[in-house]
Amino acid sequence: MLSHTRFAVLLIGLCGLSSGAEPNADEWTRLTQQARGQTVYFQAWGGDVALNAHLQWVALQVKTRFAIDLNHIKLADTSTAVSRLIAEVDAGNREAGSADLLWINGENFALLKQRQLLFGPWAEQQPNFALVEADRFPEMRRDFGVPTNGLESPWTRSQLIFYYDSERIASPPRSMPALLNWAREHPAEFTYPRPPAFLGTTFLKQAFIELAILEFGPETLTALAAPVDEQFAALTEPLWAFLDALHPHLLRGGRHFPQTGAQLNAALYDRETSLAFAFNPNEVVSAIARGDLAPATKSYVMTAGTLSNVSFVAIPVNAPNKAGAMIVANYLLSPEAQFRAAVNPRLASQPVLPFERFDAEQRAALDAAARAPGSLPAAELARTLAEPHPSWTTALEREWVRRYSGGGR
Amino acid sequence: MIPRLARALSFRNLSLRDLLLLALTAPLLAGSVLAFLPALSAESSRQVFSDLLDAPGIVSSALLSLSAALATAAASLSIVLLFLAATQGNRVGRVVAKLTAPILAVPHAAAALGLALLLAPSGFLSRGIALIAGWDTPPDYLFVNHPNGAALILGLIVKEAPFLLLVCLAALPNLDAPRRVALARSLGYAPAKAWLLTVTPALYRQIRLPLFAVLVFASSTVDVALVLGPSLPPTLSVRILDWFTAPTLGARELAAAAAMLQLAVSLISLAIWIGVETLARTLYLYAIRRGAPQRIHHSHYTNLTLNGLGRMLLPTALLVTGGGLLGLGVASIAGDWRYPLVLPADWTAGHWIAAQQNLFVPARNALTIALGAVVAGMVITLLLLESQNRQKRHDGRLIWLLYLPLLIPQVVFLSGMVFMAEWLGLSPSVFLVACGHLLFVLPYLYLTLSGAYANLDPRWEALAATLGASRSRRFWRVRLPLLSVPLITAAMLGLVISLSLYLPTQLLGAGRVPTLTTEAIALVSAGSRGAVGTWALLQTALPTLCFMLALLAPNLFWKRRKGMTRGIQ
Repeated sequence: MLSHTRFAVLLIGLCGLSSGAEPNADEWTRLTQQARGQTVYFQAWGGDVALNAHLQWVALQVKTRFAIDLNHIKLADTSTAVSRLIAEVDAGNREAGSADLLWINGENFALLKQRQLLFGPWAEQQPNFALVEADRFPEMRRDFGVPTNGLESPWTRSQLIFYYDSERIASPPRSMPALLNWAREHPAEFTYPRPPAFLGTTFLKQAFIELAILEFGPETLTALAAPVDEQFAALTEPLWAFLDALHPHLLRGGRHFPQTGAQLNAALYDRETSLAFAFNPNEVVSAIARGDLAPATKSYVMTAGTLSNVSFVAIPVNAPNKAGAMIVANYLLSPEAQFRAAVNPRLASQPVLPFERFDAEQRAALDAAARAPGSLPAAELARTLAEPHPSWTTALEREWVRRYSGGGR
Repeated sequence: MIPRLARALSFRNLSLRDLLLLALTAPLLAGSVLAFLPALSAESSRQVFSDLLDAPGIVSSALLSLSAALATAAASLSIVLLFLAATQGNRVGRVVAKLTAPILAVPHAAAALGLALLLAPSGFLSRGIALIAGWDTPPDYLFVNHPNGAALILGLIVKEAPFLLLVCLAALPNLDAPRRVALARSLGYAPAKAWLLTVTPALYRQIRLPLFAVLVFASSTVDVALVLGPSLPPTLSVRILDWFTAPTLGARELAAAAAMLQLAVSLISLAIWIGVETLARTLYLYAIRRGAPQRIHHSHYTNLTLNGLGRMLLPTALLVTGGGLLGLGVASIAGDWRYPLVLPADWTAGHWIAAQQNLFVPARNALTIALGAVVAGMVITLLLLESQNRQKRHDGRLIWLLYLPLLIPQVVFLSGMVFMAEWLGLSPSVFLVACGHLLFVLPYLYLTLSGAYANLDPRWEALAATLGASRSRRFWRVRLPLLSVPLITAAMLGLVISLSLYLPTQLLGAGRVPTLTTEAIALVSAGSRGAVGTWALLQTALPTLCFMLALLAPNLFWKRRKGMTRGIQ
């Protein structure tokens, strides 16, 4: 356990570095020593067995290398950890929080940053942060458009992709209006998770952006990058018209929505639906490897592009083991950990490091993995849409709940 | 030490026992009040409540919780009474009762998952029909998660009916049912009707409290509602949890206001039930005053119907749960099992191998918490019972406080307890969770043991006293050994309850104290069918083991004293 005074010294040392400064090797060595013997509680969504297994492997690595005990606290929903952190600090707990490291994104990050509940800046002082080349890839410093300011460290990439049962449909709909027409012709063969469940909200945002651009032109994207304003009603008008028309043609007539991607996969696998989507470009590859999807499942990206973002880890302001948490975050960024997560066919995660950062052997293995059935060509994945400002997410979720969750239909 | 403490409690100061009860109840009451606080202390509580009433579908949510409670309690009670009336302790009845015990050990969530696996459009039943009807895609029907809550109620009945049956079986020996029935039959009533008319009134009085617990539980369950309940809108309890864990501004206040509504809904369900009791009493009196039916022919058909329903319904409920578990078992080792395959095309041990790497900590936590809560609960229960025993009084003015955790919905007071623990600086730990479990285990320990304690023939201790045994010697050497069988049964029941608790573990442990139950529920929405099946069975395994031990323990324990295994009264 770290004594309070030593810890204070450490914090001053770390925060004293200006954001973006070169990592100080001595500082990091000292931090590594501080972290020895610490127990790090990493609160992260635990719904993916392959990801859970990967984090177990990470725990083994940091145990042998840095003598850190890493515990993955499996969350059903990240908001649990966020509200818990808010409650802890509200109750005056500023030192002995229940989490040391959090996997967060988007509105959760925006909320915690705004409430000043995150420790830091620390992320850019990690030796491995330089590897992500944040100057070349600005998305490594922006979480849904909100500057990360060194309060969180990237660890995986995500992109929305759609996939379909190629035994049942020949050509899937490649735009939202096409999806509506397709659903009319194929009743009960599509559904989406109920917002505010993460994946459901993602679908909502995808449909919103696509339809808003169609209706109001590409300059709408400027409005979406800024906080939500009085244009909300007008800009979302096409979205609600679309959903009102779509819902009767969904699985179960839109009277029940699933909760998660796993349920979408199960429905596709069992031929209840023939079209689904996930927020992981390699979902189909990994799900086929796990046996959760049939080998004939094919993935694609909407013509207008799909939402993409980077996932981050952050340290709560009341984390008792900040040094250990930083060492773990840095290890998650290492080529070794990134490679391992990417090459495992059951996980097939999208690395945050540029391809050149891996050595020749790793590159060959990654190339081979990219040819697995169900994987997408890089050109298709290049069609991305930026996440709107997090305040849009909250507003969209609230309006969806107001309109549809009462079961009025 | 226990007798000495007990003596101190009972002799010198009568109110010490009451103080103990109050101390046990304090966290609960404080938790309830604290849970309401965010709504009451908000800048404008009126605004919070009007926001709650404006929440889409809130009335449907509340009505759903209310109807689920009433329907579950009414159906479970009817099923159990009909079964008892139709079998009256015959061979079939005894066999079914034996099968009921292990079903009781199946956690609610696992039973619900099994039921969903049977009845969903891509479930077992549908696959069976597909085989005959030649379907190649599942039909699009909504039963599981239907807004009318039918699947939710069914999922509750298959668990609550076995619970009520065991409660009834425990109460029946004191009611002299055969002689009551014999008397009624001599007046011309058919057997089943005779049982219903003469035994039910006496039995009902004894099972009222457990029945109330069923009402409250059904009105506020979270785990069953998550699996089988509707989503547009969900039950009130699920919405409270959603709001409680939502990080958005104002959600906590809404959760607090909804918790008050939940308490009101549970209390209203009790009030309606008590109203129906009055009505039922009148009907009973009317039926009895009318006397035995004169037309034997008519009565014959009534009797056949009663017998048929009685023999069919409860075994069906057990079969559904058993079949669900079997389905989960198949799912856990299924490789390719695409619709419309009735059985998997190939098999795999992958899910079990993956689970086994994650098993140790959740299993250790679950056992530590359960053992801690049961041992502490046992000590407290014995203290309370022994002090009552020595005072020769069984009224215990405040003993009802012990039952509060069964009568106040968990989702109401737990959020307040989390806040209180936070405020006291108690960080989430196995210890804190075990303390929370203690509150839920205690009422069952007390319920199970108080009857046996009171019924133990006082002459045994009197005899020991004449042989010069001291109070404490009599307690340790006579009373406890004579009560060993009920003690073991109670302990096992306590373990089963603790092992299945979800909400207290999740909330008090802040997710940092994973148990088999929390791991299983975390996978419910996110995991694949195979992972869900594996963890649901793992979650079921420990409590089932406890139940088996409870059944076997008396024989192992008293291997050389056969008389003890029958339980001396």
